[in-house]
Amino acid sequence: MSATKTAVISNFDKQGDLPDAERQRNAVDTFISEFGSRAASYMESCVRCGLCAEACHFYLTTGDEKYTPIHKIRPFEQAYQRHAGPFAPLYRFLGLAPSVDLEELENWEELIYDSCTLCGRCTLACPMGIDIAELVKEARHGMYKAGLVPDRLAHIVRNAEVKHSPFGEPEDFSRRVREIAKRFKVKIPLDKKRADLLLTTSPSDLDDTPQSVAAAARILNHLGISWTFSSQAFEATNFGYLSGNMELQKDLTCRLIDKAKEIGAQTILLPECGHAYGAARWEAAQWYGGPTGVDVLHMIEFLAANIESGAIKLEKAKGSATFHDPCQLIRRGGLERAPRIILDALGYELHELEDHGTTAFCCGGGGGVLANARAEPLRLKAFELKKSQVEATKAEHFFTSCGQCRLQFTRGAEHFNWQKPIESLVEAVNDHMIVK
Amino acid sequence: MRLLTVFSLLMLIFALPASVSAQDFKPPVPASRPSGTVSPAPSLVRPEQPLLERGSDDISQLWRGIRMGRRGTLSSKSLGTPVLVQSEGELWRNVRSTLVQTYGAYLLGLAAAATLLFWLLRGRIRLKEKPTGRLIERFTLPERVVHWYLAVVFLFLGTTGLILLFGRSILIPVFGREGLAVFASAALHGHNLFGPLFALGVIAMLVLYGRDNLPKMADLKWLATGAGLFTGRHIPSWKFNAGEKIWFWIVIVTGVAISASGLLLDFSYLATDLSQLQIAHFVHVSGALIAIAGAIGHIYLGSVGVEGALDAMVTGEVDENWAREHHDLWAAQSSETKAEEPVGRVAPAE
Amino acid sequence: MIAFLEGPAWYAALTIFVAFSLWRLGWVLLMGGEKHKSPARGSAAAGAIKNVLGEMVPRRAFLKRGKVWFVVFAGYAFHLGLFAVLLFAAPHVDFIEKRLLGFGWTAMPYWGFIVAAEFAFLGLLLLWIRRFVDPVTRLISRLDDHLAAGLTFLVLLTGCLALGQQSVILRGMHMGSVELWLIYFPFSSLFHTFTWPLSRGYTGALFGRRGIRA
Repeated sequence: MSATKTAVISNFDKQGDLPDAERQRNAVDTFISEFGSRAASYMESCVRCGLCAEACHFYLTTGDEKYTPIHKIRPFEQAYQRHAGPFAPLYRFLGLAPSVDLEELENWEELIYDSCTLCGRCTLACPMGIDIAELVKEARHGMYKAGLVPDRLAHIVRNAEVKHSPFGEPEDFSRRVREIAKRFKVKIPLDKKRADLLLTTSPSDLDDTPQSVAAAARILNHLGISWTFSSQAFEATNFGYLSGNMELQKDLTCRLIDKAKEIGAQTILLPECGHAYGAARWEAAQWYGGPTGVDVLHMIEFLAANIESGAIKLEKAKGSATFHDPCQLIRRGGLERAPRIILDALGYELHELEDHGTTAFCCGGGGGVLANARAEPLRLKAFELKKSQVEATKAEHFFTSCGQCRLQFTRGAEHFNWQKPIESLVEAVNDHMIVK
Repeated sequence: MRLLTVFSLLMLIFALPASVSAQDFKPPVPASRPSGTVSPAPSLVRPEQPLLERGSDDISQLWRGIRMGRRGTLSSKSLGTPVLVQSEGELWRNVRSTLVQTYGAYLLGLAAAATLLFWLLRGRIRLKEKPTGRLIERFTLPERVVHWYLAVVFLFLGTTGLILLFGRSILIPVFGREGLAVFASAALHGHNLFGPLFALGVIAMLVLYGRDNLPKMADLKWLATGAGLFTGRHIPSWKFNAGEKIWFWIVIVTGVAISASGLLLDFSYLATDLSQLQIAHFVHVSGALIAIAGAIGHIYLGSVGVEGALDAMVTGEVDENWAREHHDLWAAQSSETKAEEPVGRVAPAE
Repeated sequence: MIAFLEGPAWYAALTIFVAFSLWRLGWVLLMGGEKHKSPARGSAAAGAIKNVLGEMVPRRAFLKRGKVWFVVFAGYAFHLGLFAVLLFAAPHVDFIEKRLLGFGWTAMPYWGFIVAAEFAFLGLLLLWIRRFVDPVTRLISRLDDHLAAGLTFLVLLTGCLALGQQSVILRGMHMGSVELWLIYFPFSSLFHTFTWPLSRGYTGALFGRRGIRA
């Protein structure tokens, strides 16, 4: 693994049939459009100290320096120096700012998509405070416009564009909701004209863990909240956010907000999903174009609030537990206390992972990496790191509250024959909830 | 090997006459003195007469006393040692400008010549088989940083040191006296400032490389067979072969000597007698000249002399075949430890 | 020659330094910001201030890595040594008083200067060497980083070589290298001197707004 400065010939996928010159132009133009004062000050601050690598699970588990976080956005930064920076004309004139060519963008697809989960640990490690994760996310906008996205991720994105959700059409959703209601014997209101709260969900919940949908429904019913699902606006995940497809991101976000307003719902409740929170809670106003007027809550902050207020009462569970902090909820989302309130109320003896809270290690599956078949070897390496940390706690139960993390742990456990199930907080609350 | 024998001989020739003459002129030292002045070692104390008898105005007697290195009292401690004239300084000055410069120049010239000769006769030591493309880690990041740190600091100190030693002989003819003054002033301040950095480097070097440089049985075999340098026969060795170990310990021994003497010279107010500084200087220069001579050979071997050597110290990695050809015992041990690494651990800080 | 270096060249270098630094900083500040932000959970300003002034050592989780310690130690050794030498070395205090501000302050004793200079050299050498031999920094470093380190080293070195304060040539070399450094400064990564509060501030604001306990 010795470093070379020559171009890395790596795998890349290509979508669409745009001519090369147009791909390159689209990418660069989009890159340039991202640069405001914030991104520019990041571009102007990097001193190439390399400390970001020391935080990144992909670098740490492989030892391969090409996964150094700031290196992942090199074409993005190059575009800044050549076109958007304070000395851009001077650098161009002196030949000091090379243009970003298509080959470089193709080589970088792997770094921008396969080896970054947007987890933001590098952001915490940077002495200059550069938000590298955010820059990777912004770079993806340009990569998407150039049609340089990993194939499977692009496929899911197309699905979402056409059907609104990768899960399926509204009819598919309605059918699944009725199945879940029947199977778990829980009332699930669908397409009500008026409600106070709009519940959303994710394809993995609907397909792989329907019990968590049922759990959410049961808890909401118990709390006596006026709520509903909408077959037109049920999708909490935002593959536009993950892939860099800005139009899709905006479309998915606005869809939820518009529906909430339509039915008079003050609150949108997100399922146990990570990036859904990043998209709907923290970026909604940016894409909506102004204050949305609707509150967005994540399931765990909703549960924690209701536990603290006493609205939800729990039977004590037994045993020890450890918790994986989903990056988009805790490190990027600010919800560090919520899962701990829930686990404490449940009565578990908490054995924290060696790296937990805001400096927890990413599961390795977020940010679109799970949806990227090519990234599997990297993903599994990150999984092994988490596995060894979980085992070190000797905790009986292993919890998290994000569907993608859950899927990563499930798939990783299958691959390595690891007999440790991953559990969900909403399901645990439901299982222990005292219903009179 | 040949180099080593020559160096040791030179050191003997070098050191012997100087050490013999240095003992001739121990100054007579007063037995009693007022408080606040420096006390000499007991064996040097002799009954003393005042510099001038009361009432006498025999200036020649006064100056004879002073010339013999008689100690007086100082009005302030920061003025140095309480000796106005130290006659053996003349000996020291002669030793420095004749013996040291001459033999030092010979030593360096010999080192350069020997290296050149080695290159002419043996040529570049290349890999016999093609590289496999698989790499093993030979030097960790800390090892490489410390090595290059010491190398850079050593090069700077060596250059400034040589200017200080040979400046008057070599630079005055070229740049004139005023020109030399610029070099000398710059060299002196740079040299004094970088000295402590060198001391730190030597310590770090010892800590990081010491264990792998301890003698082993394989070293005797390696030495006995003359390192296979001219026979091309494969001699087993661990991480460092005997030749490398010898160079390492030369660096450490001369490094410690240079550092200790250098620190005394840098903070010369700590000396209680001028002869201490003179001895320190002699040790300093001798050690430095030996180190520079050795460095000439080391730099040759480490850069062009042995294929793959420079890469090893820059990237830290060597090809499997290189490891097997040059250090097969280490290569075998390395692959064993690598196989035992637990899964799920993070890569070392590289 | 020395008159040139201490006269027009000095003024030119200083002017370039100030003018282009202001340009670069102004450019970045005035580039426009994000228009709409989702409702904040906490204070962006408080988060910004905390991130700028508070995070002076890496967060504990990262201090498990030896390399992080190395960079922190060498980085502080260099920066603190450099600032001490720059602002408190007697010849500098003298220069600042006579040629820049019109007033000065108490200078360090000579031994203080030596200690500071040692640390500055130690830190700079260690970090610069590491830039070459660490695969991570070897991959991401560019010529600018080496020029920045090299010029800074040259300034420190020529300063120390001129310590005798006897040689006009040596003083001229120091002055000349300082002027080169000043001219290079606004165009290089050395500019992080002024941008670090900005980048830390923006990220800190995000942390504050989102209630992230960073």
